[in-house]
Order: sequence, then C-alpha cells, then structure tokens
Amino acid sequence: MKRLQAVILAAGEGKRVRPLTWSRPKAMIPVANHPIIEYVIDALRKNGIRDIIVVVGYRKEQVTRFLNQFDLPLRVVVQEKQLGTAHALLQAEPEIRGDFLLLPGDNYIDPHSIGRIARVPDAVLVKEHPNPSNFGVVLLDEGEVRSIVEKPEHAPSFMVSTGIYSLKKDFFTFIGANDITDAVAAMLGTGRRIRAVTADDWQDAIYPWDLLKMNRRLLAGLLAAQEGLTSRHATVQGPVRIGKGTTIGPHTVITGPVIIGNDCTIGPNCCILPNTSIGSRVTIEPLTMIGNALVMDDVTICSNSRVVDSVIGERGHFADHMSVSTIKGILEIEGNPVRSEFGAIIGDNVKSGPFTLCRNCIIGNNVILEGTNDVISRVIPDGSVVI
Amino acid sequence: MECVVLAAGEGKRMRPLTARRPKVMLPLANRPMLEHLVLAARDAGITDFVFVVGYGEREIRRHFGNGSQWGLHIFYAPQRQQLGTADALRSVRDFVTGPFLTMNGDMIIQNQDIARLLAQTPPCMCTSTTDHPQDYGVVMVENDIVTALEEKSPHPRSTLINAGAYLFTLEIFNLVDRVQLSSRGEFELTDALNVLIAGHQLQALHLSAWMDVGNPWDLLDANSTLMASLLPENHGTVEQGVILTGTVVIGQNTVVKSGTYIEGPCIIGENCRIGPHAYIRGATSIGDNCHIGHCTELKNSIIMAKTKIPHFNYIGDSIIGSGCNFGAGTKVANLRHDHAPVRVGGTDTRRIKFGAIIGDGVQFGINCSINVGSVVGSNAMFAPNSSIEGWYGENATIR
Repeated sequence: MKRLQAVILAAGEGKRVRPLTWSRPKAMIPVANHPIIEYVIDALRKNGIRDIIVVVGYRKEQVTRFLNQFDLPLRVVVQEKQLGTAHALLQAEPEIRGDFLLLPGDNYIDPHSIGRIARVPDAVLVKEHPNPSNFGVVLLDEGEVRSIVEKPEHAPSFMVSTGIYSLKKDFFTFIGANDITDAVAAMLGTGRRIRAVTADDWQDAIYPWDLLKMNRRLLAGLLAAQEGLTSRHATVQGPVRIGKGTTIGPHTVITGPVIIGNDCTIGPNCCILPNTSIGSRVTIEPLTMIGNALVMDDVTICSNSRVVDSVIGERGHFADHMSVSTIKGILEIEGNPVRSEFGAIIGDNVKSGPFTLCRNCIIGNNVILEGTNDVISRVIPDGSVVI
Repeated sequence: MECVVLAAGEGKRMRPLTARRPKVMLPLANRPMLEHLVLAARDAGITDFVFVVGYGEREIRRHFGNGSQWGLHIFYAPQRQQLGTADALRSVRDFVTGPFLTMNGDMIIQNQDIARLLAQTPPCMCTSTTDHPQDYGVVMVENDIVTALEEKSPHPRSTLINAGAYLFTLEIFNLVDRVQLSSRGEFELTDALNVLIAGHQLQALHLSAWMDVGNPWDLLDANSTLMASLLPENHGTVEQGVILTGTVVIGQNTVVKSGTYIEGPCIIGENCRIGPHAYIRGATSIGDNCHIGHCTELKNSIIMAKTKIPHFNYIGDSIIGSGCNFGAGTKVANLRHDHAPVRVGGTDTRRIKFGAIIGDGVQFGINCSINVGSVVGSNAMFAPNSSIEGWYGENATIR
C-alpha cells in the first residue's frame, strides 16, 4: 500500500498577526493552549498520515524544538528566505515520493475534511468565507476548479481555497512563480483537472483578533478535566480544564468552555467567563474578570481588572484596575486600513501601570504603559513607552 | 505446546485504573483477569506459558512467579517498547518450539473452547460475534476459512469478529518479520494474518463464549459473568443475624457482622470487615483487607483491596481502586434523571446504570456526592460535601 505523505508549511512569520509573531511564527501561536500546528498534525495523525514533512523558516529553531517532542517521524526542511508558498514547497521536493497533502501550518482544519480530501488526488479543500479577498478565490464548475485568483481586489465568488491540497508528485513541474496559487493556475492552464472538496470546518487567522474566533472554535470540543487544587467554595461549571499545580481560590466562578494551564494561581473571587484560554504560570489576582480571551504563559493580571475580547502575549504584567472594553474601529495593518471590533491585542512582555484603559488597540512587544493611560483604536509600536 | 499470552500493554482506555497495574492484572471475581485466562488454558491441558510483558511487568511477575503455585511453567518475554502485536510476537521466537497458542491477555474464554482450538490444524483464528463490530477486526468466513479481515471499519460488513486467540505454526515468525509499520504507527499482527488469508490458509473457529474487556465499564459485565459460576464458600466468620442469599464467597479471616444482608453473587476477599448492617447486592466483588461498614449499600461493583467504605455509603455500578477511603455519607450516583445512557469522558458506555471509576488511594471527605460517569485519578482528595462530576486527574484536590 502506498502511503500518503503530508507537507506542512510553517516557515512564514504571519506579518499581519504582529505583534504576536515577534517571538514565534504564526503556526506556533498557542490557541486553546496548543500551538496551531499541533492541531494540523493531530488531524493528519487521526487519518493515519504519519509521514509528515514540515517546512520551517522564520524562527526555525523554535518550531524544530517543538516538533521533536512528537512520537512521529516528522522531517524538517528549511526555507532560508520566505519567498512564497510554492518556494517553500520546493524545499520539500527531495523528500516527496508520490501523492501528498499540502497544508498550511497556521490554520485549523477538522480531521474529517482531511480524510475526505486524502482520498481524491489533485483536489483542493474549499470553504465559503465572508471576506474572500484575503485568500485565493476559486470559481467552481460542477465540483471542479475552473480558475483561482490570489487575493483579488474584487472577489468573483465567496468560495476560497483553504490552502489545503491533495497533489501528485508531478505538481512540482507546474511551479514557476513563488506562490502555490500560480502553480495551480498553471496546472489548470494545461487542461489538468482539480476537484474541489468542501471543508466542514476550517479556521484561518488573518488578523490577530481572528485568533479569538479560532480559540472559540477549538474550545468547543473541550472535555472537562480537573487537576491541581480547587477550593470547595469555587464554582466550576461547564467544560473546564484545569492543569496540574494550578490553584483556584475560593469564590472564583469559572464558566466553561475554559482551559487553564499548569501552575497558575487564580482568585480568590475571580470570574473566568466562557471561551477563555489561560496558559501556564499565570496569576490572576482577586476580583478580576476575564472573558473571551487568550492569555499566554507567565502573565500577571492584578486585582480589580476586566479583560475581554483580548489576546495577551507572554510575560505581561498588568497592574490593578486594568480595563479593556470592546469597540469598533479602524486600524492600520501592514499599511492598509482594516475594520475590527475587539478589546486589546497585546504583545509579549508588556508592562502597564494601574488604571490603564484599552479599547480596540494593538500594543506592541515590550511596551510600557505607565498607568492611567486611555488607549483607543491605536497601534502602539514595539518597545514604546506611553506616559 | 506453549501458550503465548500478549500482556504488555498498559490499556490506556482503562486509566486511571492502570496507574499501578497493567490492564491484565485488573481483578475480576477477586483474581487478575490474566489468571482466569491462564486457568482456562491449564484446564485445557496447557502447562507451558510465555507471557509477553512490558507495562507493569513487575506486578505480573510478582503475582505469577514461575507458575509453580499453579503447577505451570511460566516464562517471560519482555517487550521493552509497545510497538504492536506483531512486534510482541517477535519477542517470543526463542521460547516456542512448535505449533503454539497465542492469546490476548485481556479476554475471557472457556477451557472447552481452548481445547477445541488445540485440536485444529494451524494456522487457525478464533472468531466471535458482537453487537458493536466497529470496535474490532471484522472477519469474513467461508467454509471455515477466513476470507477477509478488516480492522475497526466504520461500516462493518458482518458482526463476526477476530477474538484474539490463535493457533500458529513457527511460520508466523517469518510473516511477522515482514510486517511494516502501519498507519497507526504499529507493527500489527493483522498484516501478517492478511498474508495467510490471501493464501486461503487461515482456518476459523467460532467460540461458544467470549468476552473482551476494552473499557472500564466492561469490567462489570466480565465480573458478573465470572461470578455466575462460583460456588458458595465460607472461610471466615459469619455472625448470627446475617442473611446470605445466592452465591456468597467469604475469604479467610473475614468477619461478617450481625445485621448484614448479602444477595449473591458476591465474593469477599481475606481479612475484610463487613457490617454490622451492611447491604451488599450482586454482582459485587470486594478485595482483601477491605472495610464495608454500617449502613453501607454496595451493588454490582468492583472494590479493590484495602479500600474502606465504612459508614452510610452507597456505591452502585462502579469500579473502585485500591486503598481508597470514603468519608461517612459519601455516595455514588448511578442513574441519570432522563434515564439516558451514561457517558464517561465523552464516550457512551451504552449503560443506563453506571456509577464512577475511581483510581487508587483516593480520599473522599464526608458527604461527597459523586455523579454518574465521573472519573477520579489516583490519590485525588476531596473536601467534605464536594460535588464531584466529570474527570479529575491524578492528585487533583478540592480543599
């Protein structure tokens, strides 16, 4: 029996997700407490696909170190310069023997969809998306792809390519330019057919606030599991996962789905609302409420704070009475104005003084907010001091 | 003839019960699962055994030793990494001399069936029927020859399954050597069997009775099945005013105190203190050195050694590890209000009545309520009045 191989592209930084990709590539951003690429590997493994090649580049040591912990024959190839997806795939060419799956390492895909596309050679997994212009837009005809355009200004349909392809080894002969989409277009040009398989569930994060949606999706299937020490006066309801060594203080209310890592200290008298992921070694001081948020490792949020609809990078320290609220706004991302609605996206190692207010703002890595600041719809660059 | 028993796996689905013992050492009717299998094979005339051991090797060796206690010769073939059933067979090559029997260590099979298998021409595979064939290898048979074998197919073509007992010749070693890593990342015996099937060489033998233990709740069925064949025995002390109905087995130095009512089948180990006024219903097995005290009701449960359930407790349809202590008034629920099948950690048990799975050394304060389908890891601790629901890891604490 011939074994299907898989190539995962995890070389890109993910510039539009800055500042969160300063210290990690997009595929390594933890969502529901696991790097996104881990969900991709799991989905492949659930389909019996174990021969996996990962293309790394940006912060490659970090990805390689993470991949080493798997009990799988994962092979790593390096793309020295991030010139595009097709260029990344070319780096894996010597490792590929026959049919293979191509997947981005920074999207969530459900295992069932992989199972379906794995059975069809020369196919692309597609899905409708309300904002197709950020993706490769496909035009379909009786279940086959007629044309594909990468990030068009005016999208001809809402059907987009998930970037997940089932391909034969001869696909490499079509690679001319640096993008997969160009190679697919070249392949269609020669009269070769590409089937379109509809994905059941797929989540990409284009902008950092999209991570909250992905987080919500990945927490949906959470199984309750408690370890650590929980006060008998705490109320834990719904699917809640609490890691080893974590202490939940009295009168804390946790409403699932919520995942909390190892060695955290939460409460007393805290409120953790649904769709929240909290990493390891996080401290949440008394009388703080957190909801619909993604809090990474080693963060401290002091007492009387409110943090909602937010992503918070590692090692942040936020003094008391931090208040985050959600408003709509327009932010400049990579030179383009983008509409959004969220609380705060905060990079790694940010410090804030007491009574900091954040509304629809992106705060860079290593930023210091001295306190009593009110940050509204702004992007604060890495390393700034706000007085 | 040698009998090879595959007993190296942990049995991950049996967690947390396998924290301190491998799956095959889980007790049924107060004996390890593996002992029942070995005794059935002995009764069919086998005296030489090779155990493939790995996870929990020490526990198996400590219990069985060289087998002289049972009049048997037991050899051990360690499999250092659990790389699959084909790999397990590779490790016994130097122990077998001719045609040999191979059995999975986690099933219940009758000695008459083993005797019938021994009379077959090798290679031969035992089959059985089940109402959930999607969890097993499904077998197609024509004229007692196996024609196809499909592993865990989501749409099984029949209810006939591979029971995991075989009669092989030495040729099987050549076949298992050629097995490649499967998509699950294991060396699977199925791949070697498929070579035999392709050559129309594999005979099929249908078993009259068979039971495998895949999930913790299967232990309850296997326990009651094995207890059905018990005969009443009393090696302990039964005080006046005790009522025993059905088959009740009482071990040495065990005292059953006045006012206790036991409805068999029930087996109680050695050095236990039962009652006064305990109510024990079938089919319940209680390990050695347990204390079942005043006003405690037990029903259809497995209680492992050294566990104390001393005052005002109720435990039904549950599996309780060893060395646990139940505070006064702590109870286990075993029925949902909507009478729907109980789910454990997202898995349907297909049982309307199921209580909890409790690991070893768990301590409950007084008046804890343990809801249906709860799983508690070893050495967890719970404050008085805790409401316990869902899954608790090892050393989880409610204080």
